[in-house]
Amino acid sequence: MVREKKIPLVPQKEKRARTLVFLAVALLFTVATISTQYQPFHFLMNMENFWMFIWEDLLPPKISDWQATLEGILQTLCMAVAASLVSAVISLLLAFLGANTTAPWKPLKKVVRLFASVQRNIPSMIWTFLLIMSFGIGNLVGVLALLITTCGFLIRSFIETIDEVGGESLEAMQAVGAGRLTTISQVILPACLPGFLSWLLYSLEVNIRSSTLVGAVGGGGIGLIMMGYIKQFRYQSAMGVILLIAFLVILVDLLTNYLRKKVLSV
Amino acid sequence: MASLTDSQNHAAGAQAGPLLAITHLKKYYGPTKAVEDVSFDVDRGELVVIIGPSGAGKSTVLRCINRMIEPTEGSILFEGRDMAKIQRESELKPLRRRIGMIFQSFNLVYRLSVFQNVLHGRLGYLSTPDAILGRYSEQDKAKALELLKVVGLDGMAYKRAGELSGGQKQRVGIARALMQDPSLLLCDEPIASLDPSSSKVIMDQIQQMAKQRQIACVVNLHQVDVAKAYADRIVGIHQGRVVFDGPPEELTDSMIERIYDTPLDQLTVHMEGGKGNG
Amino acid sequence: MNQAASTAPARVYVPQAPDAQETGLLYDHRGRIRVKDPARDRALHWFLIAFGLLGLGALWLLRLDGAQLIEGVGKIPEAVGKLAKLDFSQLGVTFTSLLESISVAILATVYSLLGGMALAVLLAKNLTPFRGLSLCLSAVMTFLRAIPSIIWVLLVLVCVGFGPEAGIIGICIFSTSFFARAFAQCFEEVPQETLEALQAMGAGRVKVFFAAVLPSALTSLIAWTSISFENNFGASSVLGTVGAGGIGYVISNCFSRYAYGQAIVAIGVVLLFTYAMELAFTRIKEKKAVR
Repeated sequence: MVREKKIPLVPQKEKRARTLVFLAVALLFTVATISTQYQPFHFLMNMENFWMFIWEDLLPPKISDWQATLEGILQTLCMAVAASLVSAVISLLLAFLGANTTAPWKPLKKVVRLFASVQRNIPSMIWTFLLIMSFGIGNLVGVLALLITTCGFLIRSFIETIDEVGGESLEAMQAVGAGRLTTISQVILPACLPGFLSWLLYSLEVNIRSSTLVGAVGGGGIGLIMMGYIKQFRYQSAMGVILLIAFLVILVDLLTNYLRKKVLSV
Repeated sequence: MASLTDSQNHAAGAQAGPLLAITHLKKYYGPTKAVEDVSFDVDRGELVVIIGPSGAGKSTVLRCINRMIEPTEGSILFEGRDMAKIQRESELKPLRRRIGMIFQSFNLVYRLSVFQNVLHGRLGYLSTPDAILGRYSEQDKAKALELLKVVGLDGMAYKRAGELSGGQKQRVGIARALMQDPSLLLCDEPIASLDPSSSKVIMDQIQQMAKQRQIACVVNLHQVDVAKAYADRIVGIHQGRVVFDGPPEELTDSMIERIYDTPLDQLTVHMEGGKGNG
Repeated sequence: MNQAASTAPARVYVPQAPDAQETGLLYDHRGRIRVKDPARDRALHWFLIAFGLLGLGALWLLRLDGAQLIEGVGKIPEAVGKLAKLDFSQLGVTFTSLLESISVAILATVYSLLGGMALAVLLAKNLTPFRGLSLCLSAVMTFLRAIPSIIWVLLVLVCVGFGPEAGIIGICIFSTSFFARAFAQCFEEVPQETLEALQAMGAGRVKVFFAAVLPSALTSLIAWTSISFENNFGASSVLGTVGAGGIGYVISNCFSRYAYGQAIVAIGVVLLFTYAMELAFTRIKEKKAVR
């Protein structure tokens, strides 16, 4: 076998980039392993501990207080839905100020984008801590924390959707002599509506998940109940609640997927 | 009532000279000279075709006319007003709505109905609240339906624009432009993304509009054969300058070579491909 | 005839004989011509109305305390004042715990990437050796994904005790199933003809995977990895608030000690890192898109 002339399958540059990425990941992986002293096989070797915990402590799951649990679930659900709706309305207004094609004033556009960036880059659980400082514990804090992160996320997504409509239809409106507000209401809004709703559904999925977490650190709802059980070492009750949460999440995912196919595909 | 006085003014202005007179138009993007020196006139009912290689500045000239692009220098006299000198947006809009525009990529809102897309041509005439809410008068709707009949899209009013074929989309574009009651129609490569038979329909319709409604048409094309078949006058642009301005019969082969900067035999493949159009 | 358009109110317009059958036109209840077919957007409108009502109902059910809200808003300046007293004394600890959080996110992403890839091959309908296995696995994955990673961490924490290990394993459970689903979808998008062509040439299952499936799905794999890493860092940065380690522990510890000045510094560090990460990933995406 003559190995001198090897014909490269991929361009040299791309190959180098791939090697570089691979090396970088390997380096990061090594550093991370050393700094955390994590041994992947340690856990796998001590699985019996884990199984014992599952079979003896977690199973069978039980619901100790149906009424409190269902109330918690309802509260969590309400928190997620309310936060999604309110933040969609707020984000819609702000997105038009922040999108390239509709922004009335350049500095304001930057401010809106920065605002959204700060909102979404701080995790909702940390927002909860910050909000507790002035609002105290309760589901008000939960809703506000979800509202903030959802706004941050939706503003960015809405801005992207608006900018995707692109200059073409806007050019036509300019040629017709239509004003800015007219263009927004007659062209951009109808063209973006399915995109907006799809993001809204996605935010609902995310919020269902994070509303349980926000609850766990003081936002109320089912998360608070679950956290209480874990702190009291009542793992079977905790497992019951966790299964209910999983059930809720799957249900909402199925529903949003159905809506996406039925309503938004037209 | 505003529009009534508008059109009276236009009628008065029109008798003075050509509908559109471009003189020494220049457009520079920093050091790049998109348009170097372009002058030509267009009369009512005249179909002027601008030809030239891609990048010669055809699109820029067209967009300077209705000020979608700010010209660097020169004057654009339209219905007696110099488009290049107008500063205020509020003065620009009434003039813009007298200039219809047809685009290469149709620029429709595909999710809306054909009817709504045609009615969009009326937005420049509506009062602001009516325009924002999309409240068109019954007269406008009747006119839109009539125009749809004219362009051969009878009975498709409630279809989504996105469901139409390319040629049909462009016909919606024509109807939308006519909805503006334009005295000037700018067509930017109207048939570039269409197949030969749809191209013929579109060019026929544009020609018909020019003749029947006495609308001046400025059409950008890159197919020389189509230009020769339809134009009343051809303007050849090469590197941002007008190198030819005359009736199609005077466009010689050597002139075409000069405009396109390419020997004719290399252009012929391209032209034969478009023969079916003419 | 159009000149009167802007002045003539539509209301006065006398309805023409609505010979809908003949013209195919639709009229509204006032006899005006409709500009669009209402049946087309009906589902969308119902959905909007339903969601709006649901949201309002949810707000009502929550019985949010208006007084509490107003009072809280009034207290915001005070809270901001407390936070504004920046305190950099814990900066060392903050950085080491940030490093721990990042490490946890990296390890969880790498391990779940490998695990997810392996599971995706079993899960993807066009690659799986057994249909039944694919279905079973899919159900399990759906369950694992339905529970947020923090809750998994909470459970693992009970078994393995305090430390980064719980974080890594807990996040891995969620992230593996996330990767498996996403990758399976990518693999399923590889056109069947490509696979058939290679199989016809006599390439085995494994060869087909490495020669055709992996390269053609690479771009979306990278996109999913970046999303997952962002999510994983989000999770690992708040692990501490429920009792595991990392920067979240520093933050929640600061809050419980009322050391708000230190807390805000730690939050700022998290914010800077996530923001930088977002910028980097956007840059990479744009570069890819240009190519």
